[in-house]
Amino acid sequence: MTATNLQKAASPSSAEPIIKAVDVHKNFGNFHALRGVNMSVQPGEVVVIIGPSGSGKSTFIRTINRLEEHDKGTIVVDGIELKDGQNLDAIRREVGMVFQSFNLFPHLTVLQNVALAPMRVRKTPKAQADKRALELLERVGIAEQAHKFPAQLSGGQQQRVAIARALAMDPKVMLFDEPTSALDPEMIKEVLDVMKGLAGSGMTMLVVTHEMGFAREVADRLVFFDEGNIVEDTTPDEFYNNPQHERAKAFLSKVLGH
Amino acid sequence: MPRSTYQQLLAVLVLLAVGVFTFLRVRAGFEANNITLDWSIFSKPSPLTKGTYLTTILIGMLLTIRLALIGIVFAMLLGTLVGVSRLSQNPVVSRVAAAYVEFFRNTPLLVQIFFWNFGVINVLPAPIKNWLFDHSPEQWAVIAALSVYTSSYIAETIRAGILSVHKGQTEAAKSLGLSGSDVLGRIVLPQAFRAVLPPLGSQFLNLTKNSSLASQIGVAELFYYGTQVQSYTFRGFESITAITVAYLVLSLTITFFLNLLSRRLALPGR
Repeated sequence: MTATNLQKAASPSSAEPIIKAVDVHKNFGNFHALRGVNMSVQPGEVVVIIGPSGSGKSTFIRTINRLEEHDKGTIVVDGIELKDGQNLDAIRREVGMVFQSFNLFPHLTVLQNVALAPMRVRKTPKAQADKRALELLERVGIAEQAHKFPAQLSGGQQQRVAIARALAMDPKVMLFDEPTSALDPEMIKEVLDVMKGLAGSGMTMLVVTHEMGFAREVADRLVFFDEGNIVEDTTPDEFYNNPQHERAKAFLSKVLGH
Repeated sequence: MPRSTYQQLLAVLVLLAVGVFTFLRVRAGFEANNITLDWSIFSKPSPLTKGTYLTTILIGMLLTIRLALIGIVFAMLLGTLVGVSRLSQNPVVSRVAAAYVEFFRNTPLLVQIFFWNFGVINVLPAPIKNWLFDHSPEQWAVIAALSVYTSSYIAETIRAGILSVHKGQTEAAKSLGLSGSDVLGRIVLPQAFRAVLPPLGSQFLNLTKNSSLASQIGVAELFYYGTQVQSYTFRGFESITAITVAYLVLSLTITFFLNLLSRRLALPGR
């Protein structure tokens, strides 16, 4: 950790971290995907995670809502430790996730996609859930598409619906797993704009992305993964201007070189 | 004329030639064997049921419809349950489901009908047995056999449907905090059913036609009455033709409704 980072980590508030991962390990068969990851995230922080493919960055954020079970170490989200026998749904209610491939429910309309979880999980009455879903669709700029099916929307629109769907549960944390990687270039901006708005509203966000511009503009912290561990944890500017680790330097020269 | 028009014309001509040839051959065969067809038998009074022989066929058809509809409902319920169980994380559940599929899929349906009719029904508890004896037990034996037999195929179809649903769907549903039963019932199964509707439809058709085996334990459905009409009238060609047409009408009606359903369930934009 650099000095800048320590300063940064202490700055937002010295409250309890909303996510605390200690010595997290994960194996896929013989592949050691996560090798003792430590990370704390304060409420309201926007953390961008970058790194080469296979470095464990996606696996790590998937352990935070237990789509992957970690083999060793502890993860505490909003005061609840993730382990067998815990009420996982309680944690998943508080942690929204946006996927690379959108994963909208194709047999439900856009509105139903957004209103389903509040109705089923939070037992919100239908009228109220629909009203809130429309507000969220308004916020991501696609209220007029509410009664269409996902396959009738463009990729960028689908991803914005996916963001609205996650927000409908009023999560405390939002996880983004390469949200723009499957999009055509002209649609990336509309999704990033929504994410910037969300960051501005004070949402705690963990974002795995290759969008360097987004990272520099929005992130409080930038975390660089390599071979299953965090090798740099710093501010975006510090990372670009003064990368410490060899792998980070090599990665940057490749990403910025084209 | 464009090439495709020539090809269509040629196909029609070939079909026509085959049709005419077959018709002439059959007629020559009938003449050589001194067979004349007499369709008027169907308007003659039937000693088997009330009304004419046509009425007899229709009464049989009605029972076939009843067996098929009840059978399809039970087969779907059982098949979905077993198909989902086969994918259970619990090894006991998934193995029992697999054994169920292999047992009922790999023994002949006729044997299973006898098994229910002469075996299972006799060892049921007295109250159920007494109720059954007042409510045509053979019919229930056939319904049980048809449902269970077909459910083993439906289970495999449903399993394939569930596996065809993208893993991301389950992940997205779980990450929203939906319960396991909601993930299955509201996200996975609706997509799985859509994916396997055509092969499911084939199973419905198979069940309907397989119900003809009920005749072997004296259930008076379409095939039973059809063959009775043949025995009473000595009109084999006419009786079998009537049976064939009746099954065709049933099957094509089911197909019509399945197509209607698949159009209703189709998702816009896909």
